[in-house]
Amino acid sequence: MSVLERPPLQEQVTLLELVDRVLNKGVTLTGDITLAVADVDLVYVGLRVLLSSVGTLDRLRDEGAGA
Amino acid sequence: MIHVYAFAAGLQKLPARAGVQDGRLEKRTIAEISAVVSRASAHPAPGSQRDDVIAHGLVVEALNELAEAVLPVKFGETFADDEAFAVAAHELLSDLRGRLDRVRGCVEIGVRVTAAAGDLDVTASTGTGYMEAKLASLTEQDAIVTALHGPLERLARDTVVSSSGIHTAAYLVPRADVGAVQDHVERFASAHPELTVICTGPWAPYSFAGDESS
Amino acid sequence: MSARSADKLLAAHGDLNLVASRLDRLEDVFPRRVGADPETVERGLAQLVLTLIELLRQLMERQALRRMEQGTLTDEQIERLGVTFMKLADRMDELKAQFGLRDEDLNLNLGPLGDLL
Repeated sequence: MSVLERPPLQEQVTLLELVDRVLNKGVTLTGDITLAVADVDLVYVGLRVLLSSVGTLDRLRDEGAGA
Repeated sequence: MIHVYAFAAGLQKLPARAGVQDGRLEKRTIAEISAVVSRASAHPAPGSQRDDVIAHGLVVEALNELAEAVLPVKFGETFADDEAFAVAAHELLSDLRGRLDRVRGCVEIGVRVTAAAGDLDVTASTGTGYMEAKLASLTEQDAIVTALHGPLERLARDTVVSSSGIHTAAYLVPRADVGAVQDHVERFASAHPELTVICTGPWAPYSFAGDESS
Repeated sequence: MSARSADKLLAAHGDLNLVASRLDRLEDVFPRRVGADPETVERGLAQLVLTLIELLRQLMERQALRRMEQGTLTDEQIERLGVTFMKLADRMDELKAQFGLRDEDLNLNLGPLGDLL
């Protein structure tokens, strides 16, 4: 945004508060967690990916035991 | 794609506004709970995300005035189709009921207190001098924060504090008590002109909708 | 959000620029969530590292001050800790200046995990 387009200070503040809430708070359905430090995504954990990976490891281990 | 805005209990009607990508708001039902969604393209126009984020927030805020209880959904929760969304929502159903009960009749009030960076610096000529000055400064700061936070915590049904600035917190407050919260913050701000004090709201209960326990 | 914003601001005192400046950083969020460019990533990494160092510094200082209050530190230890913290604060100022980061940029909010401290 250019300086000319920038809304008055009070509006900026309320906009900041709204956007902060919309992006960082609220219900997550997909079971993914984003750890953000200084608004930088540090870790993005896809739980479905984790679960399926664990399942794969179990299968491999079981297959190995049977061989 | 299905874009999700919020879950709601006792939703009277959908807000008369457009959603992300100017999409039309639609209602889905999961047992007795409503979900507000809109159809969205998987490939939004570049640069439109900022407008979409704001549109999403405005829909949630409008919903907060049209339902008994609203649980904002984080931006970016999209699903391939209605079926995928329904499956995910049903998995959360009992959680959602509990959370809706928790926020019913309440709004979120945000408080931020900061100071110019230089104001908090401590200078000293010896290590011991630094430690003593730092201790005095932090003790004073803790007392100031307690004076602000204590009464607000007592007025609120729930509180989330974050480690940002001197004090940043979200308070889940019954609608009738918003005025009392505002008065307290105003009095505090007047008593501490050296601090920057901001109080915003009433918001939908974003900070109390997720599964983190406070 | 224009005409509505007045309703949402219940109290505002002091230098609002200290808070509004964060909106500049939120603007960086949007390109990041679509697909970050190298410059944004590098600046984000510097911000991340310095925020973590700042977090540790504050934790260590508070811990040391608590022990000083409790009387479990010798005078010599207090002096040494104080000198170390002063040097660390100076070094942080240098690093922040080097990367063009202000104190406001080092935010310690951990989102869904809440409060680290």
